[in-house]
Amino acid sequence: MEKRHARELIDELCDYLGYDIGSPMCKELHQHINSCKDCQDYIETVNVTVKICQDSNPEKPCPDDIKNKLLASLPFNKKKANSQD
Amino acid sequence: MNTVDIKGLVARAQNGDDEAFTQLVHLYSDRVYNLALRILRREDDAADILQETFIKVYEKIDTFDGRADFFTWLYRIATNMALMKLRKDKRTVYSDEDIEKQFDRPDMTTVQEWRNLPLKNMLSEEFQIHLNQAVDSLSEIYRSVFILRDLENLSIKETSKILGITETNVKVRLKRARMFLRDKLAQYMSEVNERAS
Repeated sequence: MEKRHARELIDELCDYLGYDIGSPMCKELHQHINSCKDCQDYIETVNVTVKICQDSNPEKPCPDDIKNKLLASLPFNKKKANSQD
Repeated sequence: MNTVDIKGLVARAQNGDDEAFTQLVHLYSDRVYNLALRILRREDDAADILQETFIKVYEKIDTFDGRADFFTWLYRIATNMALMKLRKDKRTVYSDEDIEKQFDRPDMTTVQEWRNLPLKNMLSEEFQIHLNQAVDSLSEIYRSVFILRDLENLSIKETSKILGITETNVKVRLKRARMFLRDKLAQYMSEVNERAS
């Protein structure tokens, strides 16, 4: 696991548990996770899950036909279209 | 485009400049469409939400007071509309209690199995479909936070403003959603490993 990501996650976890970042409890949590393989694996698998979700939901451009339909539906464009009929 | 330009466009649109409003549509339609698609999954639903969102924005732009970013205001409208559609469709989801229960008892037994699974399996289409189904099965309060924060890459602060909840609440829900998804995926991996053995 990347060290930076692990640190961020542990800080988030401290925050979530209500410990101030840098507080003795938070430092204790850092120490525990740094020495606990199961916790490290768990955090890593959470990261992998999020990464797979991101990879399987890539940014897609809005198709042109949908964009054109949207523009045509706007009140001022509808008004223009009606006056041309 | 920088903030000043957006502010200028919004001000012009508020004064009835339809060209400025059209520019705002061009600037934000991709993002609103993607957000709706990630929440609803269906392209026709996403197209409907896109259209309804911008019509509502056009009707309500006078009420936008500029205290929040225009983007946050727009996203709030789009998110609410997409979530309303979800509610109307009554799609099957796990209850909040299911998710909290799972969060209280994380599935640690399968951690080792992740190491045994080849990376190509984790990137397979079947795998991704399974995970997306798990995202879809999250209840509204968890799904919205996960999509805005982890898929739309918005900050905790932006997510909290859009959903009208505290930043602490965003963090709590995000953590639960991530761990719930992770455990759903772990269960799936156990099944895959069992099938393979």
